[in-house]
Amino acid sequence: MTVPAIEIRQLKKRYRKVEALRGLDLTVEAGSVCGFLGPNGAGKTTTMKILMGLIRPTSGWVAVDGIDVRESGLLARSHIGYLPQDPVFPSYQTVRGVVATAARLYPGHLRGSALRRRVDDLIDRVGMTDKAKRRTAGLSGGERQRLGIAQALIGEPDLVILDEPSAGLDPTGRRDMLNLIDGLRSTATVFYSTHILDDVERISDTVIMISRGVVVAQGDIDEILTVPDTDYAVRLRGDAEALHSRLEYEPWVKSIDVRRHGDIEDWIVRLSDGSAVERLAPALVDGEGLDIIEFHLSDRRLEDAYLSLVGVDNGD
Amino acid sequence: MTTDADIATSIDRVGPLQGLGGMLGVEFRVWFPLRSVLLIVVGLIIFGIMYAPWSAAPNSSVDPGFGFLLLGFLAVWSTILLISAVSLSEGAVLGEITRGTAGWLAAMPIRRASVIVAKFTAAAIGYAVIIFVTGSLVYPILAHAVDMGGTGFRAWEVVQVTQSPIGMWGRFADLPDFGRYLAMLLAIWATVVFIIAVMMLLGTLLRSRTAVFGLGVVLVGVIVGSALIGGQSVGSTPAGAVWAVLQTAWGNDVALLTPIMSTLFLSILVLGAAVWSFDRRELA
Repeated sequence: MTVPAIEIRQLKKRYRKVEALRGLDLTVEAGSVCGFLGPNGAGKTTTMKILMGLIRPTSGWVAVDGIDVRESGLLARSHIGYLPQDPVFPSYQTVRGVVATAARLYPGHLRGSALRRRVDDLIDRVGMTDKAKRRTAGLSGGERQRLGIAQALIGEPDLVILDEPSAGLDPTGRRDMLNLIDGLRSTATVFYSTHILDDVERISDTVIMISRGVVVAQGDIDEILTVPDTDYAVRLRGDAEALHSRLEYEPWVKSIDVRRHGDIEDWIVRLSDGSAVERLAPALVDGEGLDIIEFHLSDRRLEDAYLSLVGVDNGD
Repeated sequence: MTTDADIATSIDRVGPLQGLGGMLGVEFRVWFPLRSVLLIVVGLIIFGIMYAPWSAAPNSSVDPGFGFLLLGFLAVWSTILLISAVSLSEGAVLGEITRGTAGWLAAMPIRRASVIVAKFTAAAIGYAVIIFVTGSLVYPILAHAVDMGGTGFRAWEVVQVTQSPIGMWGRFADLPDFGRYLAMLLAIWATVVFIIAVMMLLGTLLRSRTAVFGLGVVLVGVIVGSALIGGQSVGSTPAGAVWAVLQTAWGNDVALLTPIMSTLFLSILVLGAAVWSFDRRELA
């Protein structure tokens, strides 16, 4: 059985009166690209910093590649490449200097020409060869993120932890960053946090959603996006108020979400079970003065899953 | 490919200071050559400023000695070194924490102790170079002046200018031999090293660089002040090391080794506390 890349059990972190993590349990399988989602203040960065040994948990168990982070933090960190949320590097160092410095901090690191080759390869991989001699003080936010990726990969890590890697990037930078992350999947497990749900849908194998310091959903992205056979999308034109009122009180209807655009309404009708569609369809057809434009099983996007699991007002 | 066993062996070999080599490389690049050269030049300029009017004064029948010149130079130079140690060390740890670079380093597979020890070692070696290079350059000039038969210093001029009763003190020391002179420099270095260790500790404990700097300046004031007014009572403390330097420059035969050793021992204790504190500090 493969050891999970990350395993966290009952992780708690309290900052004075604020309970940032309240018994977090999560598993990231080795070899996966895992998106870590949650509103601001949900505990994503705290979790990542505990994994990196930057802050200490109040209680709980955290392991990377089966290595207890609290017991053997140094060994665990030798498996990890880390990009912090807002990467900062010594301002007097050049891009090449930062990557070379990071390389020299690893146990048993490369030396001489092998080290130089590795540094240059990584700088090239993140597209910064032309800026290799520039001091970090003059780098843009996107360039700092790229440099952050380069230094995170210098130790050939099994696990890459990226805290909001595409935050603040322009569309081109974001696309390049996603390509970079996608390119890592053959060599490392990637655990990254983000607010950009489209990115998660595009490159993640698994998703973990966190809210108020606990995991609210985790699993393969396909599972999370699987639509239950009880949710139907209806688009109709005309006065639908009477039909809405009638359906709302039917025992086989759980809820109806309504969005209006002019004289068109989009409904998401949640039924008590899949067979109730046999009652819903005739009811729609019988609606007086209504044009049914569309009627089908609801397409579920990550945004819908996120909003239904996490809510819209969950930030601190 | 590096295995866990290789990594564990490497970590075991280096022990509690894994990453020290890499960190020293970083810190030495910060220290050399800019800071060292700058402080050496400043030291020589200060000596030049003090020596020039001295050497230009007309001959006199008063036996000049060199204690006063040496005393003046070492007093000014030591104070500048101590203040520069405060200034250059106040951000060494706390600056890294507030900028976020401490988090970058601590996320690497290194012991946090290596960060503190590397910063301390680089600063200690940097100041050793500054103090011994500057001191070694100054000494032969003084020795040459002695060989030339004095510089014609007249005590009453000092009395006139400074309004101090120095002329009545009557006796100025000769230049100490080079070994004892090196011991004086070593005592100054030990005091600087103690200041650096304290600044490291303050940087791990406090959250304001202004507070760290302020406390550092107060500490320098206490050390220099105690050395000037405390007499022998300051004993085997950093202030005792400064006092011993001043007494030696003045021509008194006092023990230098004891305050040097005790100051270095205190520095290591303070550094240990800084390592302990930094190891527990959360780098949010």
